[in-house]
Amino acid sequence: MIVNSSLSPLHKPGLFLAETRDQIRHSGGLARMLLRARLAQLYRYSSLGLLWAVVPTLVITVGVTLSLNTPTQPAVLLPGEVPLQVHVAFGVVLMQTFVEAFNGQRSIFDLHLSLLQRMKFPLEAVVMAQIAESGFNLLAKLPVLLLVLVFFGMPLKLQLLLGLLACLPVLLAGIALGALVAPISALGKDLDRAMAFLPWLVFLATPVFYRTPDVGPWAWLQAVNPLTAMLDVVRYLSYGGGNPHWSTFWMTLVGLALCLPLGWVVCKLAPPHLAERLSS
Amino acid sequence: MTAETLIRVDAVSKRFCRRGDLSLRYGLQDLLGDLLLRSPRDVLREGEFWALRDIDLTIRRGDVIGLVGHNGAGKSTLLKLLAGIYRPTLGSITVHTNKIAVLDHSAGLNPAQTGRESIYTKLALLKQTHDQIAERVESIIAMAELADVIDSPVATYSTGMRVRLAFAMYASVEIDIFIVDDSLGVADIRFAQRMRRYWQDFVDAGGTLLLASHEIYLLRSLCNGALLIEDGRIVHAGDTESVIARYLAERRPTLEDVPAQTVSSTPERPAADAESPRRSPPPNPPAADSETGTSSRFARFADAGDFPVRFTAIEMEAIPTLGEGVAQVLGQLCVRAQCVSTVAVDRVLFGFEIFDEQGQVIIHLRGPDAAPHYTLTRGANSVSATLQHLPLMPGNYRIGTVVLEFPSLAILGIHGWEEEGQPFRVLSDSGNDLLGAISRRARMTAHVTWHTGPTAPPQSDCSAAQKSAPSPTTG
Repeated sequence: MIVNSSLSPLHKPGLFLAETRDQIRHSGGLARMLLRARLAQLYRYSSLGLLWAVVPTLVITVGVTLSLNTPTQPAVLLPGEVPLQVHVAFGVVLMQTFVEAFNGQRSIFDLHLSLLQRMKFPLEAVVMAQIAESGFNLLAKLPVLLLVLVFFGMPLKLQLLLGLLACLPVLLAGIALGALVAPISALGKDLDRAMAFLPWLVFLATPVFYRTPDVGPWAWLQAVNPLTAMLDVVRYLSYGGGNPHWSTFWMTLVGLALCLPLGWVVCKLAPPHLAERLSS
Repeated sequence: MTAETLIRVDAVSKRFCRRGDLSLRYGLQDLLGDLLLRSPRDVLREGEFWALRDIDLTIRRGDVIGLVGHNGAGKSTLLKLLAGIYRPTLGSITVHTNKIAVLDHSAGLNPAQTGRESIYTKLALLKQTHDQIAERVESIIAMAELADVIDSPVATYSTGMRVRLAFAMYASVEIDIFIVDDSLGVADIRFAQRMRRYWQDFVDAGGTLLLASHEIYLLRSLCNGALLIEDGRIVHAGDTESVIARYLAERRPTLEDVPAQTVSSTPERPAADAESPRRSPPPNPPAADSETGTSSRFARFADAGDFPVRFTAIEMEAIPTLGEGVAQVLGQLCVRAQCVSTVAVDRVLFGFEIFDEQGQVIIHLRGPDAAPHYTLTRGANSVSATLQHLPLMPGNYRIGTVVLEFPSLAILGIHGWEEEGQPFRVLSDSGNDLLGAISRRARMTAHVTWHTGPTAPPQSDCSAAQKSAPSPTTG
């Protein structure tokens, strides 16, 4: 029995959770199908096909490597010192992962608007498919990071696996924030327009192209910037060096543990409100 | 014994906002309200109106309910609430099945996906496994008659093609409740016929159908009950005929409308046709045969191609005689169709429809579906019908004809829908045109005298029509 009531589904949290659990349990097949269809749709009419998943990252990384290869860079690095190119390559890949996850999740209602208005469907499948797509994007970039490490002669330690694992919070942060703003993004065009400059501001406020400062007011900003903490932890675990703000990192994980389910709930409650207000 | 209740609607109201800026703000407010467990309030905010108000309704298994009402009355809103797409502002809807399919003119397909991908996605959403879908995908493509374009993006499909694809998908799975929102008019005539056949079988098999349509014939032929919705309220519920009668009565033009229409160079068309300007397929009374199960329903749609009956001529004879293809208001008009059949069929129905210049059906003439019946012979056949008092206003019209197998109602031959029908002109009798003035705005079935036979001579048809009661000739 399904009750479509004017009362918020959260009035019966047990039922809401049970339904969510059942949907997650039964939506795996549908999520896989949606992911396959989405990837086919993304890369169908392109000459490089799936290679496009890695080409932008590769081009940016090569470009950054070449542009930073100037006489100002020391020819011989001191022990423990990391080439700026490696620092930047990791920063670029992780920030791309964050922005793509954010954009993907905030667009789920736009992507499935035609379905949203014509049938009640398990939103869990759509969210899971989007998470999987973001994960796929991250996986496609990881070989670039390995190439960079090898190219610059960085030691490949077992700890690198932990570094790769630490990429997950970056991915989840993008997903959580994207899920939280997805209804706003679907209802209005403000966020679409803001995305023309927001990623650049985030790139500026986060040590992607520069090393994390230790002193000064900019250093204070980096100390409280969750993205900085997550990026620096990945770098630290992957190739050593740097001094991550661990306290900020742990607090970020706690924040993520709260924001992810909250974003999920927001997305689950949103469809009927959007269906009646949007036109496909 | 009362049938199982599938849907119960309790005191449901739904409000909408017409102002885009406020609508977006209200959307976020309502979402926040859900998060903060705010109870809904029985008030309208600035710019809002009640799209539905105080709806109570019970839908049981086997119900076939037509929803009628003018555009914006609230039919689609009610259907979307029942399908769980919208949430009520007040009240609640209890649904005892999750096998609900909604078919509307947009079909709910993702334009970026190919037709084949859409089949997989949509059926997966209807809880079909990958293997189950793979088993059915080719038959769905065949049924939708989209084999040539199935790997092209849905965005390149016409609306009719999308509806065909969506319909073929739904027809391949078990559905408890089929919700159809005015989507028949976008399919071509052959596919519209298939959809009707499917719904007839679906209904005969105990399926539940909710149908919002302006096609009165369709509602009459399928529905065992109807709701008249006006301004968001159910103003009349009951048997289909009484609801439709009231709907038509309320649509009837007022005395003020008549002169305005008479002087207009482009006559106003009824609301139904503003949305669906294509000519509708011919009417279908309920089929008597019954098949159950998805696979058997599928089998009935396997055939496609040319019709076995080809109409070779539509001729007219008017009294008084005013010239070729000319009749007089309230005069007599005998219409005769000549056809060649490649099959012999024991029992058939003939129909004529007269269209106005905008393609709107003005008069429908249908042969009896009770004994004595007409027989179609292999080779040349002829059928004629006589309108004793032509109830049309002066103007230009066209006429089309159809022959249906009975009781399956499969179209055997058709002329005048996909191509232009036979043109004719009606001239004034310089008398009282009030009857014509009314009929031009109405859909009606005229009582006529029918004759058919392999080689019925024109003169004898019309002469007999003047003298005798209906006397069908079997071939």
